Amino acid sequence: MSKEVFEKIISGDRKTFEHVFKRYFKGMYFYALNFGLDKDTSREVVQSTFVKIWERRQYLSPHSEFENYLFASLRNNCLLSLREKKNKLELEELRENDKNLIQQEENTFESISQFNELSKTYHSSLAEMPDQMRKVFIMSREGGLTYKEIGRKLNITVNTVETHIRRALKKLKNDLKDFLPILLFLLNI
Amino acid sequence: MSTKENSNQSSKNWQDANIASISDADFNAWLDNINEASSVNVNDEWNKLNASIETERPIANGRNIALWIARIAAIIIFAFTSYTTIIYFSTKKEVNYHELSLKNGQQAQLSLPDGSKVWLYANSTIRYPDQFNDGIRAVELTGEAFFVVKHQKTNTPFQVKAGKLTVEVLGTRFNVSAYKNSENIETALISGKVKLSIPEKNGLKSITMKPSEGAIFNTSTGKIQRKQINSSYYLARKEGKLIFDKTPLPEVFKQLERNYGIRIIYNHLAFKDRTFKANFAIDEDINQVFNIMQKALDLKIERKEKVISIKQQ
Repeated sequence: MSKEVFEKIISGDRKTFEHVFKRYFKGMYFYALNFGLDKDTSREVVQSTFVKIWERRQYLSPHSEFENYLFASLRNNCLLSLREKKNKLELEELRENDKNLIQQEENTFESISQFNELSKTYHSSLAEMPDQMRKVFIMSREGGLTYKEIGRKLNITVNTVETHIRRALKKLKNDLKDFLPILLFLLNI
Repeated sequence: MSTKENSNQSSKNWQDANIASISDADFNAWLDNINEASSVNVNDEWNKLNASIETERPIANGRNIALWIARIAAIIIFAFTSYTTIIYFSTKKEVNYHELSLKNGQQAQLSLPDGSKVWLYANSTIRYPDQFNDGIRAVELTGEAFFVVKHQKTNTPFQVKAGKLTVEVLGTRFNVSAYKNSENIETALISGKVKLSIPEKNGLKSITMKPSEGAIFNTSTGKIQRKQINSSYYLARKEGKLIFDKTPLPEVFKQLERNYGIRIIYNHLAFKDRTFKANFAIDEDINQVFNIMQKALDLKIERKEKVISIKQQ
């Protein structure tokens, strides 16, 4: 994403803004979630990051790539939002973290720019699972059912459920191995 | 330079060691976040943003609300037709005929009077007598079925009449697909030997197939095209599985259309070189299947009742 994009947005080009929004929303939301913010707060933070940029566009200067500016704004907003919820003691800790964060900045931003690729790989991995394994995995993750409940529903033993889950996680870890360094950086936040 | 290489190497080792140390809890939380972020509808989010940055222009805001109402009104959820199986008997030359018709997502296994087995698939009908006479074993098929034909000592041939095409065998395993809405009748041979008979201007033309071979008969041009087939697909299918192994998307779409009784609209040129790898059960929830496909292949899928339009993202 070039400086040109930045200039277009400053001049009020809504189409370009929409394009950027749709391209990065999921990745930015993912970033906020990984920051430890809850779902509603994460959505709000991403939304308000875009709103603020749009409202202040006349005062911006296109000194860098728009992506960098966008992601750095998001990071600041995530930090602010996190601070609101923490007490002073934890704030000290956060300040320490800030230093690390700035060093890791570029790496953590990869989780945003590569999110669409990551999501595709994750879902391809789900598709490739034997259907029973996938069913068990989805029931457990998205349905929030216990192993016992899944076993009863599918008429299989709790042991079999455990085996399916373990194999599913192993497959996912293997299929997503190229993205694991991103997870490492995120864990260091 | 060697220092740089060394440092790269050590950072790589550091990374590998750290990856191994990622805890299950962290990995699980991360997967949940991937799943949560993937499920966001960016168009809805964009509309939300649009509403909040457009406050200076109330007219446009009003239009947005109207658009929202229209969108909500346009959401149509439809349930699949109930599972019913019709079996009726008709009398013809003192022979009783059985007819079995299946709907979406259904599959049935049946035994014929001679002990041969048939796996009948969704949206298909088979018609057969309760007794085979006259030195021939003949059944009629529209749609798709897999046959395991029992060989008889008397060498009585077994015939599948699928529209204009007749498939004749002695004892073998094969699949016939003859849907009414397709101009092609496809035969896939797993083992044994089959003979295809096609009507021509002056009589019948016959073609013999070999195992692992497929033949596509175009009912409008009358031409037959041979191709290699993937036997494991047909064998898995009769166990209730839809298995795609780097299968071209047009083929995937075709199988899904048949299984779910839907119509998929897409641009053939855009998808002919893309493939998909997946294991689905034939009774898997259609929404789940399309949800995963959409995200795995980065597609734009819109559904309006039984018509599904698929585009590149």
